[in-house]
Amino acid sequence: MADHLLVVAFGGPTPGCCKRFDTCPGESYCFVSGIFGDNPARKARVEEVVAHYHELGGFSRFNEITQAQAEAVIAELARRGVKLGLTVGYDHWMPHIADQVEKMRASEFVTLVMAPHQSSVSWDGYLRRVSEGLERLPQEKRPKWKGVCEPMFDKPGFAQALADRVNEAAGKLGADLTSSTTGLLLSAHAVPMPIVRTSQYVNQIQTTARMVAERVKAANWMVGYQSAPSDSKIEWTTPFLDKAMDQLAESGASKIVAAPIGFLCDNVEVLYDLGIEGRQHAQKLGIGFQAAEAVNTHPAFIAMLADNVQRALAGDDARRPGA
Amino acid sequence: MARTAQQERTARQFLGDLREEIRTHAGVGHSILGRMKTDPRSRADFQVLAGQHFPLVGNFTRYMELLLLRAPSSEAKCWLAKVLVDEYGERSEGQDHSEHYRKFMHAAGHKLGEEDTVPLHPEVVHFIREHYRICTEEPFLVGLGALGPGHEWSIPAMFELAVAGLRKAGFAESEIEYWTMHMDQDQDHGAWLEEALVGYCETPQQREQVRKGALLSLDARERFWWGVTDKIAAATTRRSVPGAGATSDEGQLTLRQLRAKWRIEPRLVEE
Repeated sequence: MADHLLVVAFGGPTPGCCKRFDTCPGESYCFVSGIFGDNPARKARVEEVVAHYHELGGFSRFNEITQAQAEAVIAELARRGVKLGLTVGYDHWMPHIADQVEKMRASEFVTLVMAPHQSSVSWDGYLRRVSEGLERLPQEKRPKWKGVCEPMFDKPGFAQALADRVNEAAGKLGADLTSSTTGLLLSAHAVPMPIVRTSQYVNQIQTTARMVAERVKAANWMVGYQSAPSDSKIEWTTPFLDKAMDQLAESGASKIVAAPIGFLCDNVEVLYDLGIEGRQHAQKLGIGFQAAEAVNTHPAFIAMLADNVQRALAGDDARRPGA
Repeated sequence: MARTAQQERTARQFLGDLREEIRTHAGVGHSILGRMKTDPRSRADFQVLAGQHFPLVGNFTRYMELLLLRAPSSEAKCWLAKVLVDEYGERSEGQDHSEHYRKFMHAAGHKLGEEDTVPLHPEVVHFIREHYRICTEEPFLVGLGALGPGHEWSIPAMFELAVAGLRKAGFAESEIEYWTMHMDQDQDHGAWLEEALVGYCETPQQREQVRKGALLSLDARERFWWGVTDKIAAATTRRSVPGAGATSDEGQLTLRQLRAKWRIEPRLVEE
């Protein structure tokens, strides 16, 4: 029986030098340039994104919120009589997934991927780090990888948590979601089409969006994609947020409630690209705007994650190494 | 008619601007390349990369041959022919570029004779198809823009990053000659090209066509690198957690299947 839960996620910059450069250029620069790579061709794009971080204080609450989510899942499982050790690791910031796996004190573990929709650059990318960590250990010291929790995009608990966040935001804006004069914008990270072609990413987002829209009885909703790099010339998932907002406004919406269904916590993309840039665009359009909080540690979301972990522990629905 | 000094200045200014546009293109600056130094890749990753990259290597000379047939002047033919002679591997005892690449593929873990049996990401197929289209259907200068600046000015920058990753992954210099050779050779080709292009960038229409070709090629390149990224991430997950991956390669064709399906032929058309 597995005795440990490994939670893996993208990560965000926290205070503390990563020691990648001789002279520290600041955590947010290291984080962003780590994603784009050490390449003069992307210097301008790196600086553009770093500026977003600086505007919000230079750091991200991504890791803090992910840690809180993971601890809440462990607490929920303990309440159900299931005791597990916990390790959390990140793809793009410390503590890194592979380092955490190397240090993990476990005999058998299951992995929970904190990405709501599956693509190779998130889901597969994080799992790859788990493999890297295991490969660093001698065979006899490697904990057994029992499985990976199934994806969450179609789980009612996830949709309910999102629906609650949408209703909270609509309440703040004084918006009636059942009227077509309120547009519901359900937002996810844009992904380049070459990545979409081999995965179910877009279909999974549409499924989540439909489930949320049904729960809040939205009359006028659509999916919008955000945070695509401005220097890429190829096709990404569309419509982008600004165009989706234009469409909602053209369809008669005088208020827009925007919910980050493709993100699990209030990271910089949610707070800046959706919260700040979304509001600025709404002002241009002359309409009301309210961004919803991400699911963060919503109880229904945590309970759904605990259900997923329990199924993986039981071997039901889990995707098993070597299966 | 002789080129005026002003025409030459305008052409050189355009080519300088185009070089800068290529240098900062997201296809040249793709994260899979930029992260080679900071986030080392394994031999297994390069095995995947090689399986996807080999079809590009194997088709490049054919694009050039097709474009050569459409070259409007001896000067243009000479530049294309000079590059082609290098690609064929003159004075290297049958070691053309595909042979050098095969050597690298075997070092990366591919079995002899199975180089063309790898399921290809749709973006790999797109890259090849797009370049055949550019070289046969677009105006000559669009083709020259794609194979000239689009390749010769971007490859040294891309390969410098790739070579850093290959060295970190532990490849011996003799195993990565294809890559190191191109870093030098394409510098030469790029310089010859610049001189050849000055004469073809005199009018706004010519400049527009050359730039269009370069950017079409680099857009295909950006898509290609995303395809490689997708393949590498998926391969690791499939290897370690079968059934847990985010992607499927259902319906993807191999180079061998594409060769059986495609017929590339220059032909006489009578009107």
